[in-house]
Amino acid sequence: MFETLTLGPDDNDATLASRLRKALRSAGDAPLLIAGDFARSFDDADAAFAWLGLLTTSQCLLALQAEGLLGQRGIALMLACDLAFVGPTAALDDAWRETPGLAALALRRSGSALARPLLLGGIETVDDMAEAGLVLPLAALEEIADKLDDSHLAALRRRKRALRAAEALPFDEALRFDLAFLGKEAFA
Amino acid sequence: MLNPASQQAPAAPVTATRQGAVLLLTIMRPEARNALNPAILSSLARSLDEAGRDGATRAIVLAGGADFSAGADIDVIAGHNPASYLGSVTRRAFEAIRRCELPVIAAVSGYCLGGGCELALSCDLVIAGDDAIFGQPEINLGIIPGAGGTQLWRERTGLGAQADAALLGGMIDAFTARRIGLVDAVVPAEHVRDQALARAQRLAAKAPLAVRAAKAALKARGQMGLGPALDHEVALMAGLLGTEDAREGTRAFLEKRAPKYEGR
Repeated sequence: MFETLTLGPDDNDATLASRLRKALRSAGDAPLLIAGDFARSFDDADAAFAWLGLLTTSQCLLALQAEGLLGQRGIALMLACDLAFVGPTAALDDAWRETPGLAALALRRSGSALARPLLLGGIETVDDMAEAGLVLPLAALEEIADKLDDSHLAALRRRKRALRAAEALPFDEALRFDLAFLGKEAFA
Repeated sequence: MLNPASQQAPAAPVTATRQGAVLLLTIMRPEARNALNPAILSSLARSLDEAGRDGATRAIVLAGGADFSAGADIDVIAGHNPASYLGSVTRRAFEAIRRCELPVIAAVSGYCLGGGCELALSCDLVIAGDDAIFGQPEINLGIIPGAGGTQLWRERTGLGAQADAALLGGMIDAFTARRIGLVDAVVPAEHVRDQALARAQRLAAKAPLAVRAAKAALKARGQMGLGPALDHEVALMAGLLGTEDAREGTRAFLEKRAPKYEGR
């Protein structure tokens, strides 16, 4: 059910932006799983902004499968995706807090209460992130994948759109956004 | 012998359907992402003009399909010279659309760029689907917006976003458009038309003379300074006090019932 984009260690930010754009187009309504090498740092601010923009505005359900070292790219991807699954080898790069954009991404992903320990101290390891609910064990990915039939996926996509509306719109308009899925009779 | 394709009547560039006092106009050129050509613009201008005079229409919804409109037809623009553009159907059509006295709601999904964005911003309310993308990319073609794209953003967003759109030619999504005031609501894209129609029905239930007067008063601010606009508002209000609708509105309020407006 998942489309997969596997990143290589040599994929720079421009390549990532291009590959991500194609992968999202190709995925259509299917969820996209991003896997591969996440150790790199950012190398191009405009290109990084482009791929982060693609992730944070996409209606596609986005999941990250993280194993090995998580550098700036890994942290940014983890926070920009809807769900992040970590394997037993996943570990944070020593300089992960220097990730450009971390404040905005952390606040967007986890709210103010968790953004502070992420940025200022308190959440230090992948295990801490798991305890805080920011990442899930890899086994959970299989459980979710097993349940992903068309109707479940449609429900997840709808909830993701409603979540974006809740983040971006005034409260009453966000409520109306989700209620609109009841159909036009609800607003006659 | 004619082949089957040539026997078919050409598809209407804009379809018009009616739901009570609400007229729904839908741009029908999906194969070109609803790029605006003279046929579409002339048809829109004609439909809006007729609706303003038919006595039955009280509100209008202007919609596209998957895309509201990706902009003006590049071939048409490229075919103009300085003299021909000034008198073009395109230019006159946009003016006719802006002159419409009835309230018009744009139901925008997908691409709403260039002339399409100018068309949406010519409407009184803009309802955006959550997949809508707005922009004035003309600068990227070595031209500028020619139907309000350097002016109409400013009324809604202020100068910064206007300058950004006209000078840099970038695109913004529906939520950004909502945040900066370019659009009035964001709804699920698959429901944008229904939501716009529901609002139009609410508009259509109001006193039609008052709605026209309110629209005229709103537009006056863009055409004159605050003092004259306030004077204009007073004159419009005074004119309404002599209408049967105004009497019916106050009577219904006092009698605790829904008013029934006749447009008299």
